[in-house]
Amino acid sequence: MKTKRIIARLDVKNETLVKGVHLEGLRVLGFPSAFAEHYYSEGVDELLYMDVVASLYGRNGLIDLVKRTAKNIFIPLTVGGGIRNEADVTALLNSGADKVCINTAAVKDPSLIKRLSDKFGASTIVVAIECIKDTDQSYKVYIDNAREYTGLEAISWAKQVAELGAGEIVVTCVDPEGTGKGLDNELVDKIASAVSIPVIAHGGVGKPEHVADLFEQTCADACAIASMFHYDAIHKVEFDGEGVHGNTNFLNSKATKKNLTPCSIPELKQHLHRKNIIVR
Amino acid sequence: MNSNLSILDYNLGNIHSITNAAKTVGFTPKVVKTADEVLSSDKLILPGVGGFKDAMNKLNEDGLSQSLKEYVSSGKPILGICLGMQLLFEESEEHGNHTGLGLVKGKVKHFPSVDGYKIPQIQWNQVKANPQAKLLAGISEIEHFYFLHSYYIDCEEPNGIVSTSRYCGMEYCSAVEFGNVLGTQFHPEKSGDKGLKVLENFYKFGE
Repeated sequence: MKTKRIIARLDVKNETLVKGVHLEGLRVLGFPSAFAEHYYSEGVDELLYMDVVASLYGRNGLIDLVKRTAKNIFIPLTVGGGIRNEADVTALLNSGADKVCINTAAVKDPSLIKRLSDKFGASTIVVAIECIKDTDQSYKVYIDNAREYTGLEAISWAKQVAELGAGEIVVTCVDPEGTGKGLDNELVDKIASAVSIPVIAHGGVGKPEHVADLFEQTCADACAIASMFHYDAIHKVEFDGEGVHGNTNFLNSKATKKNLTPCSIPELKQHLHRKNIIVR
Repeated sequence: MNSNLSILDYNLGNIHSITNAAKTVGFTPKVVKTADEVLSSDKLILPGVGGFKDAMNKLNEDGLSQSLKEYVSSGKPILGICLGMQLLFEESEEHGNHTGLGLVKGKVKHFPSVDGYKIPQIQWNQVKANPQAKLLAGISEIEHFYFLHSYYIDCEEPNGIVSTSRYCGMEYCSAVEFGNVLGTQFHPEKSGDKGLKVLENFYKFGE
């Protein structure tokens, strides 16, 4: 029995839900806790909060949000962004996170993965890998929301991450991220076949067919989705713009987005059921 | 109805989630740490994420093993979750052989490696529930719950197995109910409404 997981990814900046393209150019969409509750009520399998500016500024502002979320949402919650050490992980787990997601700090000091895995259990440690295809067609690893090139080759880094004791890997396909053009299934499958731990694919889902394609063409275990759900939820979640900082022009215009077919979680799951892909 | 619930904190796992979920179904949860607190509990949850050996070492060091056994022999209900359920059994082969609490006959074993199955199992898996089980009352016969584990329980007392699930090409025990000793391999506190229903059944258990 293998059930694929559908994860709602919420990028958070200054306690506001945002969404960009290629992890950049962030638009304000609303309050993350309201979206999280909406997705929970719609039957999402997991939530992933990413503080998208935390590693850049070396801070961690998610604690209050995590506490609020954990009070009334009873599905697994993974939190990432700006995690540098054991103390950061302890603080997030004590606030109600079930797993933490690390990227920049893991690349800068790979032994951190092993230390965290030994201390908190492998199943608590998720490593995010941001990948961009190089001119030589190989995939390279980026950090700090794909702003910084590391020179690491993605498949061998994924293997190393698994060997060091990570419990899961989130593969972000940066090229299609936020564009709705579909995931890079070639990249996802290369990584998912190279490691024995579960792999979550992220970046590029613009319509339900993309998710079905992912599960039919790769051995990915889960899919993390942001825009496709957010642009559906935006019409269902109450938001008056009060107390929010950032670029809200888009939000106020209630515009739609190119290359994107907004879709709710039940609609996506029905689509997958019709394709004989098992989901909850 | 007595709503008191003790949640044993032995420094392994996320106490936060289970505390929030317990509150939601009506419990007045209290996080406890000592042998005396275990003995004076009315209802107890033994949570746990992490390794079997570390968990048993911690329980033995602090005299918690003995108090848990005494607590159970007094007839009061205990619910083990995930690793907490595995600890109720006789032994585990996780990183060597380690003795458990021995409240139920059986052994904790590693999932066999089978092509196409990743270990740990991290997914919402189907639970085939025995509709007679008090712990699983109101749960339809096939329902999804959230699992996160690499080891499964080979239970030697089939009468107490109240649900099974399938992974790595085999059927394994995903919940037990032996009188006042209850356990779920899945995480009810992470399994949405259905998980809360299981916790609510534990709340009503014995009334």
